[in-house]
Amino acid sequence: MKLTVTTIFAAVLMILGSNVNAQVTCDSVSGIASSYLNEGTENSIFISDGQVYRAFLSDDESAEFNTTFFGGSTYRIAVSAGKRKDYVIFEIRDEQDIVLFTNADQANAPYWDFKVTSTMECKIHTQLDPNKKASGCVIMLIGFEKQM
Amino acid sequence: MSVFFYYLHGIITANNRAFMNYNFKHLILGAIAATTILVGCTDPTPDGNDPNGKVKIPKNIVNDGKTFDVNGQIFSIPSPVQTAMLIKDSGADFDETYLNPKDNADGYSTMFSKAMNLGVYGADLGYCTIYENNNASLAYLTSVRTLASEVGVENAFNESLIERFSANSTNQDSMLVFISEAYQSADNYLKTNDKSDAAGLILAGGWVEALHFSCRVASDGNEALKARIGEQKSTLKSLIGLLNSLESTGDDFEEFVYAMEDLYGAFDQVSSSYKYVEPQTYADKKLTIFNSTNDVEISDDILAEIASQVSELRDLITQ
Repeated sequence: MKLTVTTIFAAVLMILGSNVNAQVTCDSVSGIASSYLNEGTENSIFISDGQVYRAFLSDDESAEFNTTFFGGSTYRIAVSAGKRKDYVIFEIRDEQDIVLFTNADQANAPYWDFKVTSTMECKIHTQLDPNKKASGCVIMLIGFEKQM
Repeated sequence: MSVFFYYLHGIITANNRAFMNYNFKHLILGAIAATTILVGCTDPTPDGNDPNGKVKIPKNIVNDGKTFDVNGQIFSIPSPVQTAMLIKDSGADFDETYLNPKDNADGYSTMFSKAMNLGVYGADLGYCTIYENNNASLAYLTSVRTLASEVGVENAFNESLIERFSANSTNQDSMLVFISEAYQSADNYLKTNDKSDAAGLILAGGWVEALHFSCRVASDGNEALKARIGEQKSTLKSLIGLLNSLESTGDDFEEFVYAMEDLYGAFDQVSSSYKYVEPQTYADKKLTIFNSTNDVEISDDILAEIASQVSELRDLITQ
């Protein structure tokens, strides 16, 4: 009986231990994504929309984020899944499911800017590049541009 | 670590007299558990994984439910600060009567009203800051801190934020970045600590307040903002989906969700026509221009109906 209780307790502890590690990992990935939000800007800043979009992905899983881009605005999308800049592939589709952009065509760039002519509904698909990372926490941030 | 020590303390207390004779298997299991906890608590490498990027963490370790995941989709809600920026760009003047009086912050007693009004005051703070009304910004930051403390996100709005905010009170850009980072930090904290309900209510409160600004300005005859209001239709649909995915209960929450659904009934009369146009990408600038067009039509009658419902919805939150 004692052995059973101890075994269950040990298993719970193992899960808790892994959870702490995974959470810390997501937080550190979030910090890396934040650093991309204003990389390479000169006369403007990108202000975060105040939300952190996260998903834990493995294998060929992808996460879908729905968003509205307002016309006349410029947005930056920053993604990260770790130290290397090219872990994450993201693509943006319009409401007709037409691909407007994929960073796979840009060496998996970790951030990209989008100037929006007219307000539009978009879906952003993110996934890990299977050749570079098998699974992990993926963070996406959206910032809008303000001229300085 | 504390869990491990609690566990070890339990073993020693329960078996004080016979501890030296304790079953060897128990000690082995305890050692495995301790090792796991110690490894789990170690500071991660910058990417948190091995240098090859090949990690295998069980899927259920990070709960996807910590995002606003509705039927496998995650929704983004536009920032109220951006809406305030669009309002200023439309030529509208600052109007303090649009704001929720800051002293109301002391009167909110339920978690629903506290979280919702933390979102409302965030939008008010953004509005004041966009219009460079620094005294009002600092006053609203105090109200935000009051509610943030009660919602459990005081660390995101700590004394350091106040000091940085005050020290940069002539630098609007810095102030906006501080606000956004604080709300982002709060959002991250709530989502990683199984408090997505509060995160969702903060978002909803901020969105309603920003829409309230837009409606007030448009009702005063600002044509540029009419279409901006109509463009919120899809966001409202997303928000209703988000709210229905939350575990919140209570009469105030349910009344709010019903009111949001009623509001969608009014928004459903807004028509739009989208036309795809090929985008242009400039790789050297890391820039893509989306050229597609989307014409939104919203009549004065529909605008009046939406504005009236938004006013009632906001009263539901702030009073």
